[in-house]
Amino acid sequence: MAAWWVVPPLVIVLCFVVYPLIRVCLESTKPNDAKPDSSTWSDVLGSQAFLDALWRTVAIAVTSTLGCLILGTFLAIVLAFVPFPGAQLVGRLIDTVLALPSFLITLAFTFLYGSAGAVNAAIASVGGGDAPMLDFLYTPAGVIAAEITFFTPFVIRQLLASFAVLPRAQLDVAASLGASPLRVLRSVVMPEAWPALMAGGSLVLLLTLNEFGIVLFTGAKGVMTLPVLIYTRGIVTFDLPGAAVIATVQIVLSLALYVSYRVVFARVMQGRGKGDVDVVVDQAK
Amino acid sequence: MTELGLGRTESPTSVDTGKRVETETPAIIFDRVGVSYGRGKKSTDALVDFNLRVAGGETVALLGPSGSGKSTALNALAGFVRPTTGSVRLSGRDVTDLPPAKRGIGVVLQSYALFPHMRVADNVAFGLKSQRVPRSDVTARVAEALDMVGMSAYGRRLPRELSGGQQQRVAIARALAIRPKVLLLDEPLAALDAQLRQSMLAELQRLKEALPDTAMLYVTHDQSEALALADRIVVMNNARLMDVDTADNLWKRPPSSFTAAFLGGANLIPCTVGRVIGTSALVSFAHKTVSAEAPQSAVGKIDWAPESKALLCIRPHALKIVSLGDREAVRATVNAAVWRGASTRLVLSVNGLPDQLIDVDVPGNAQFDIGSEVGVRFPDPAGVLVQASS
Repeated sequence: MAAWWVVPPLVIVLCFVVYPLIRVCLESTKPNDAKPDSSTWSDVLGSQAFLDALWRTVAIAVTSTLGCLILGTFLAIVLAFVPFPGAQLVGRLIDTVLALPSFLITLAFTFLYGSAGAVNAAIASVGGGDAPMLDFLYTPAGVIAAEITFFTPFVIRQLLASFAVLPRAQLDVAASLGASPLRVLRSVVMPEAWPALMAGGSLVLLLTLNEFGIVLFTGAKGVMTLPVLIYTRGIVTFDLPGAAVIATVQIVLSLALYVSYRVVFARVMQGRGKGDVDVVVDQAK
Repeated sequence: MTELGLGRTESPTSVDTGKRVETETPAIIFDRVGVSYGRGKKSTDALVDFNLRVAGGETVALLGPSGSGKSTALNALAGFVRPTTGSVRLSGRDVTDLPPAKRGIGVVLQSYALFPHMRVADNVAFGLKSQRVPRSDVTARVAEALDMVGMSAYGRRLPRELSGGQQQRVAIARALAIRPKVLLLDEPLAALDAQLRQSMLAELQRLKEALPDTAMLYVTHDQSEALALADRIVVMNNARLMDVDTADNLWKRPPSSFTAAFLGGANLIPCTVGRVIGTSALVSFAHKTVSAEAPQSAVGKIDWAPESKALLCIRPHALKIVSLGDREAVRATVNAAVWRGASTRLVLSVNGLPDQLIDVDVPGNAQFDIGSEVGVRFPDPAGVLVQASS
């Protein structure tokens, strides 16, 4: 009888998650409602636009993730270990960013760093000249900057959770043994926060790989990522089979990334410390 | 609070300690140390006006209930908390403002605090590497430290692959590897089961003998650990130092009712002091007069004035259960009888002491009916006098 309770959630998942994804894959093999074939696949995968978008998507996602990891780690360490007035408020603000839609960041960037934004206006008022000094917003760098700003809290949140459960006693003992704060951070804190860092990085990589709002809102010329290409093919040019092919690639990419993350994470957790010890001690006599 | 000197010269250990004090700078000095948390009205005193000197090679136990300030004192010495008032000195050097890394103190905590991602050998080597000990020496010193705690065979294991007792040994080896002059142990056996605690206690006694120059400060709430290990015991309560003396003195002649009750458990019977001759006195309670020891305090003369009120401290095992016909005995009623393995603890209400319950330990598993009457005979002298106001 208890097994019947599994049925409702299973039906919901099948209907609202699995079936739409399968449908997308099936659509990719039906050019113009004809019988299934692979011509659309070969056309799309062979096109320069797809290859450029794939490369651009991966490049932006990887760069943004690295930026988020570096900035997020630094900020999380400051928030967790450097006591300053207002640290709690900053933590709350970071949580607030997580609740905002991504395109708002791009909008804010436009007001700040756009051609007629506040920063360029300030620079012009000091140095003069008509041409905007700061002109990165409509380039891949602008997209990466916006993504780092928006997604860094995802890394910070994971790390702060990890730091919060790190026993204070370990830090005290490490310090009493003569370790400098930097050494404590490097040898005690970060190795134990490594799974959280990996989890945060993987989440950000997945999200940036699939990010649509920031790229579209930036309106950057030449920044065509896979999600934007799917939108263009599916909604603008009504090439639904072509869009379905790219969407399928996107799904595979995301799932592959997720599976890789799980495998690497499991190996890291299983193999932590399994390598050789730095100090070799003779076995018992 | 009066600054308290080093131990009395009663036990062989304390004799050695006393000699060291006269010739050497104490390894540890707490000078009027106070620690408060919070500000203004929300301020909480965790340690108040704490004075203590510990000689090199001496082991001092800080004993007290939870919240008594013993761990705070240890944290102030290790540098984990900054004293609000007073100063802390190590071998004469003021370290009050030094960070923990610059103090050179070995610390062993209840939770072991081993680094879970490092193997045992790397845990032990951590302090040596932090202090930039030459790599060639690190291996030898790690092996030496592990050998000292009998963990040589476990160097390649991860902490999670060890039992609680083994992890605590590694924690001790890690603290000893840096060859500290001062070793702090904060409830190191509290997380272990009773059997393991006994074997680790023996290990610590052996270790103490092997480290004759290392001053140890041992925080515990377990009096048996303090009695077994310490040259002197500091009894703490409510963030203050209550008493300090050798274990033997505190046990036999507790200076305060708190120490008498906390260290070993004692019956504290209100009595009236009668005639006093030297360190002996006649005291009366429950229409009975008995002789008692009337000790003098380590820090000042106590005036046991005739007709003054005092407390008679009697250990439960010192009282004897006898038949009701015994002329020397007082009558008592059994309120409870609890078998505790080697002995049975009887809780009695004694005729003439209406608001007082008396604990008596009877060897073995003794059977007594609740409500039955028994005779209780007091030893001679019956016990030790403790000031009623203390």
